[in-house]
Amino acid sequence: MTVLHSSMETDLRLAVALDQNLLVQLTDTATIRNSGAISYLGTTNGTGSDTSRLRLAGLSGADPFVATAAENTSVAATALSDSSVDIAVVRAALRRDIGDVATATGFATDIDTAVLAADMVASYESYFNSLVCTAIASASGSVGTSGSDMQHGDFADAIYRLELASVPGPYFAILHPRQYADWQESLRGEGGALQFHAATAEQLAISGPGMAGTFLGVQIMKLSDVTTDGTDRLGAMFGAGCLGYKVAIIDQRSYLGSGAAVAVRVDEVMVEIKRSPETATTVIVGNAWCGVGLIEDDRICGIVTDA
Amino acid sequence: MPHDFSTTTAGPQRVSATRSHAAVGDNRLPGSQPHRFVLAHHPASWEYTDHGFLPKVTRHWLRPGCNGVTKGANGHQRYLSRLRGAGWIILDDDMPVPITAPDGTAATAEGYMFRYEGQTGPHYADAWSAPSIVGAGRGRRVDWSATYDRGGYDAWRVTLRDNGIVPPPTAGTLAELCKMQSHKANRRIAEAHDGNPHVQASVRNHQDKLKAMRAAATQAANPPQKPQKARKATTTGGG
Repeated sequence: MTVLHSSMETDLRLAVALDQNLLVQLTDTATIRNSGAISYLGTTNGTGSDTSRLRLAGLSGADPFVATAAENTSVAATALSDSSVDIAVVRAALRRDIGDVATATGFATDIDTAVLAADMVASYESYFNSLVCTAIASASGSVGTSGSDMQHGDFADAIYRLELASVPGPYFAILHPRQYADWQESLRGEGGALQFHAATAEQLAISGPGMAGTFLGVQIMKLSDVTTDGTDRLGAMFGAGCLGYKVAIIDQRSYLGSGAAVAVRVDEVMVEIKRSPETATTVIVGNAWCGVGLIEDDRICGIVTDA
Repeated sequence: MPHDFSTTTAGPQRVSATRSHAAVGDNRLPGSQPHRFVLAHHPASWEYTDHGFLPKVTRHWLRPGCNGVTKGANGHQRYLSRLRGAGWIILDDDMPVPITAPDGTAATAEGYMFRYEGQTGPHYADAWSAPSIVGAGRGRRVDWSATYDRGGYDAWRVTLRDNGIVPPPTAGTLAELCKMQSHKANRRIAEAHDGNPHVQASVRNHQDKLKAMRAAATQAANPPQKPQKARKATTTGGG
């Protein structure tokens, strides 16, 4: 009788063997924090509060000189315009537990304590993206037609609004993949000055999540965390200095007496690993403290189009 | 005589079970959207629709860590007071709002914010949203837009405008909207002259909308404020 694989599956072969490669499920892995679009405004450490009030003053030429009526005219004082905005730092966390057997039976490259700990950074970036997308939804002015797909005209209208308000560049746009795909469709039909523009062809090419290139001087980010109000996606285009974030850096005083816990700081994320012998598991917890805020509403224009 | 044990004590109750661990009939939504929100209107934010100029309503998420909102029951109060200071009109979440009932008739909901149960937490949505689940397995997601009650939402915005809950738009706001629309109408006018029928139809639609907007703007603008008494000025001084 011929020895076949099928005949050996009972005792000598595996019906299904796990592949050694560990692939990642489809997830939006974009990160905006290091793109330059969001200003880092420091920490709340030592400030006496978890909420920082950013102060904005009407300087740098906001109030120009005015010619006097006469050489000896007495000049009245011009009030200094000012405003402020709050950024509150709050805690966000993610916990993973992994059992000893799960670790021990893993392949050479598999899910273990180190992999879960390193992955905490990606989870923090995802959380940060969602904070930014929530912040931009509160823009007072917007372009786009509710319930209608995004058109290139909406993109141009947003640039027009920001330029009209003398918002300094660089400009950034945060769009939901739906908005971006609709805009691509519209770009395909554009004629005139855009028809043979190199950047048009570049935007029509496929691009993954995150930075989708530059178009007409606007750096475009695709983020699936762009919020929806039920009928529309609430993207935005904004200039430099529009959005900012603050963090709290937890220092060593918080870890006195932590015993066997191992704390690893990865940029703004604190990852702690603790052994639980009573359950034969290892606990990995990532903690981060940050807050994002819309600093100046005049520097942003919402792009509200069909979801 | 054998003892009858049948009536001594109540035994454990038996319920049916299956080998599947999946919750039977779990109609919770995938994921969660655990942040409440308020709806607010900014006086400069209007749009033209089939019902004329309607106020745009913005959803402000009350999410800790975002725009100065902190944790706790009152963590959003400072943010709301800032919005009011910046001219926003915060709309009370318990105001009755018109909706379209499932049978298509007009109805009223007590408030515009509702909550659904999600698999990882609550989902907060407005009164005109009806979730539908798309996909299966891990790819399941919630689609909020396909069944959105746009008629009810627009009816609510009409009441905001007509009942004076939001102030009428200024002439400047309407002029700006008309200007943006004229940009849309003129943007592809050169292509329209080339004879592309699709572009011509698009331009024509934009132009028709612009015409309607201009006609509505003359009616919608609030009455002009009493003008200042102008004083004569000259190039040689005075005034």
